[in-house]
Amino acid sequence: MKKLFLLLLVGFIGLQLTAQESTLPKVMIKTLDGQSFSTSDISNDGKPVILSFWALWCKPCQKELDAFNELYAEWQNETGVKIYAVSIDDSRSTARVAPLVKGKSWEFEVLLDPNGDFKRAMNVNMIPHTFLIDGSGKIVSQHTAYFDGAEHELYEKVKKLVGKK
Amino acid sequence: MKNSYKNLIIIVLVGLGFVACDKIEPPYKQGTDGPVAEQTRKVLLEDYTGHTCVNCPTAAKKAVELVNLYQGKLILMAIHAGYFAEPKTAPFDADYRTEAGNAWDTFFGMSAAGNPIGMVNRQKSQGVYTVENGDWGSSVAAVIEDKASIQLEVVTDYNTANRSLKVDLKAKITQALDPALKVIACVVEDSIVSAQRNNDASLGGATIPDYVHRHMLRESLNGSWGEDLAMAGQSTTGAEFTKSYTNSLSSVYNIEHVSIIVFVYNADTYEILQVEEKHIQ
Amino acid sequence: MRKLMISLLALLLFSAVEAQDFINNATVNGSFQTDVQFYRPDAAIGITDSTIAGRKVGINGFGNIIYTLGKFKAGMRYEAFLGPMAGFDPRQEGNGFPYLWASYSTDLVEVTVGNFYEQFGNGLIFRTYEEWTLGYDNSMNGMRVVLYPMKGLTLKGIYGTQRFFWQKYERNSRGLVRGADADFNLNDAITGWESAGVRLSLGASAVSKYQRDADPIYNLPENVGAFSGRFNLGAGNFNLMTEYAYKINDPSSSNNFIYQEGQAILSSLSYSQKGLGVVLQLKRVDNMSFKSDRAVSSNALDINFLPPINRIHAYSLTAKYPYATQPNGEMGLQFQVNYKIPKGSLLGGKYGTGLALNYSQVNDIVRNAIVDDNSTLIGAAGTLGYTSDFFKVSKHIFFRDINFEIEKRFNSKLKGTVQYMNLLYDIATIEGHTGDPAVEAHVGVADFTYRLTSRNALRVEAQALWTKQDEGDWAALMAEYTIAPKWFLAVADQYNYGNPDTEMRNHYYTVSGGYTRESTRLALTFGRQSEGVVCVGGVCRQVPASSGLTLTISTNF
Repeated sequence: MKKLFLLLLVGFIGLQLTAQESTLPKVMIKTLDGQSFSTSDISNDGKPVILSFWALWCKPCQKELDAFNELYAEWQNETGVKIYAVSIDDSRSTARVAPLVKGKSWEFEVLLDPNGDFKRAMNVNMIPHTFLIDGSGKIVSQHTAYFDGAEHELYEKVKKLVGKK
Repeated sequence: MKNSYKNLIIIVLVGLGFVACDKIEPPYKQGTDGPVAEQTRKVLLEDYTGHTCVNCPTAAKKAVELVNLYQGKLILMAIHAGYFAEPKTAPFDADYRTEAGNAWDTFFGMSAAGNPIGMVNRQKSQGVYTVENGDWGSSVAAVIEDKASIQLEVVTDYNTANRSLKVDLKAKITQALDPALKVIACVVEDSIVSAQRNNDASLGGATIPDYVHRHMLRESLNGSWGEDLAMAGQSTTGAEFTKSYTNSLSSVYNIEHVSIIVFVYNADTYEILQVEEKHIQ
Repeated sequence: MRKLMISLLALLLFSAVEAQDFINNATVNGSFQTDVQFYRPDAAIGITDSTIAGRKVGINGFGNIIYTLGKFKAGMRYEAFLGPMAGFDPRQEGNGFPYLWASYSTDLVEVTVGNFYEQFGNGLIFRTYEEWTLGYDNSMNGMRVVLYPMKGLTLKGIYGTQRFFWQKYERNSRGLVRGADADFNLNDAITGWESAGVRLSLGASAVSKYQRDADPIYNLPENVGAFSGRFNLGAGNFNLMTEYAYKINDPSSSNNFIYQEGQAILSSLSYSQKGLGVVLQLKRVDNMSFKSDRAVSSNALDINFLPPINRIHAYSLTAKYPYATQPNGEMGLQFQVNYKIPKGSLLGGKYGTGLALNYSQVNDIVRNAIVDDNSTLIGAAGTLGYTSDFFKVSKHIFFRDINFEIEKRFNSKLKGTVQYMNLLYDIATIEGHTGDPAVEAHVGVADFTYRLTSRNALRVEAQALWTKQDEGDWAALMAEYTIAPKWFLAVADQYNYGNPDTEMRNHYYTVSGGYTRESTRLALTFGRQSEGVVCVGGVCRQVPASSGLTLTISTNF
């Protein structure tokens, strides 16, 4: 009965809200040097943001971020887009994230979500999972999995957001 | 700001209150507080095990420790079933699985939950029959003082010449029971010497070639699920039911170590209401 | 708890909030995933009708929904395992809502009722989490309060019971868990330190469990407390983190009912600058298994998390022998260097070359009998167990992994990774194969991706594992064709060509394909899955071989 009630309640709300666009939930996570970071601070002065969930054990994730990194300077020049990469590594390997990031010379912001709080709030189940957020903080698209070349498709969307074709 | 500091102090104090600790000083084991009060209900502890299960000897040791503690009130039956009981290359080539044991193992979800695992009187708790070996003691303690509603008498007559065994049992209802009752009679052999995998350094090495298997189920005399003893509503106070079995015992069994375990269970819930063990010699 | 939550939910939704807002200003998001496996008998790898036992289909699925309205949030997850797929704990069979929660948060306070996940520090004394793919969930069901009384200070208090498959908590059925944590960041808290070159944060936590003692043999502690303290110090390119945890006597099935106290220390020192990262980690664990039911020895009801610090491998053969923390005692070391040879240098070439070196080793701790005349056996139940010198390392090696990786882009189309791994794996201890010799293996991996066009790519992965122990030598080959961002098709084979039992020299082939659009993913795999081991939070579980068809559907909204 309780279950039915809840299901109906949420189902009803869900139906009413299909058109409503989500914004980023506020969750406390960490920066690479162990400082607290509120996810509500993810923003880019009215320009788009790419938010990508990854982990050390995920090869495709690192391939995707490597691909972003190679094009990041060019992308920033053209559109001003900002990338945040959120590592969902737990305490097994959080200490190895910063050395890997520096070792790979990734230029974008990397954050730590060691107990998956942000991951759960964003409904991320499989990684890589990449979100595109517009200048007003709305999630405009999301994508799971990474295949070589997918960064071009994502960048087309970024260009559309800033009105460049 | 001041207010938040006050809150903080309250939280810290409450937090400290949370983490009360019980530091235990030796002796860590309890002495037996004298013999347990005279009771008639006995308890059956079933140990689901296998000869390649490395954690099973530790659990078996614990079971025997409990049997010794409850002198005659607790009956132990070790059932070899599931993956770890399968015969492998020597010295693990023996097959101690039984038809009844396999049926119970599957039905009660025992080895599927990981050996060693057990049941106490086949009582279901929170939806499962399985009791982890660390809980055997407390689960037995929880029911060992219960009043009995059935009195069981087992008489055996063994003929050494032709290895034929006659079992007569009499169940007397001392307190009226509603559900239908069933009865199972099993042959159990104690102290079978055979190889066992082990990781308890206090018992031996990784393979103990001459491990002593205690109270092992050998066969059921009346099928995996036994037979009807009383229909629903028949078990009025004072009612008596009798059963009799004749069987020829396998020549493999060491007769000196063979006993018969008889138990009566609730046909609806499978809970064992009374159990009795009788050595045939 | 559920009742409380529902009333709270109803209260917040219907009285405090106007019906208008409740629809217009709220957002709902969620996700669904279903994995379906159809099994078939495959005699070559030992799967017959009898081992399938009528279970021809395994289904794991969930649906997760989060409702947000300003400061109020509520969520739930439905799960169904009907029946669980091969390799999942059979106790998982069932369906229902194991995760239901509501929370309210402001800048000062955040209150959650119902189920929640939480971690104190590195999790040495408290961590609840969920890993869908591994079938692990030890979520709390209770209440959590988080306070932010001043900038830089976070206080947490938790209270509740833990999830144990589908078994509902009943009085005395398992322990209650309560705890508190404080995290203090000096740079945020002290004016003028915000941009100081030295960054310091401190933390402390305490957790206690209550479980009734009804054991007829042992005098068991009903309240078991655990405490931990930690700091994180950053200066320039250096970072030093250390956490120490202590637990009072906690006899349980996991430690064979010894009354020894527990200790754990985890420390890491890292240096990173552009193009170079170095990290050294040390760990010591002694009798730190901490579960909310002392009788449970299987992979469930863990209150704490003892992280294995070795590298987590991503290729199937390098990950074939995974290490799991030995909560009863271990000492470990891990060292890793990541270096990028700069672009334009002799070895770096046009694109730069990435190098990674990793070394990790875990040994047993040294245990001494309590009484000098050795009359009490080490680790005997119902005694203190043993004494252990904090700094002494046993000669018994549980695990050693030395690996080296080179990553190189050759031109705009071709890039590749090669990896070598040297492994020593005490299979007797880690997987419970008592008596089996430790596995000594060499593993080689080559992984190359060629971009045919800007969207089409071909990836080839070749692996080999050489060992004289366990199942002997393996070779694996995989080819994957992808059309970004939507399609993939892959064929793979793992061949156990060196199995000492010639009958078991099997091929484990798979063919898989998938389609992804936005966050909706469909994947289909046909083939064989070799027997393997999955490890979660220090405990490993055997996954049986299987054969058949797997379908995965997942989506987010």
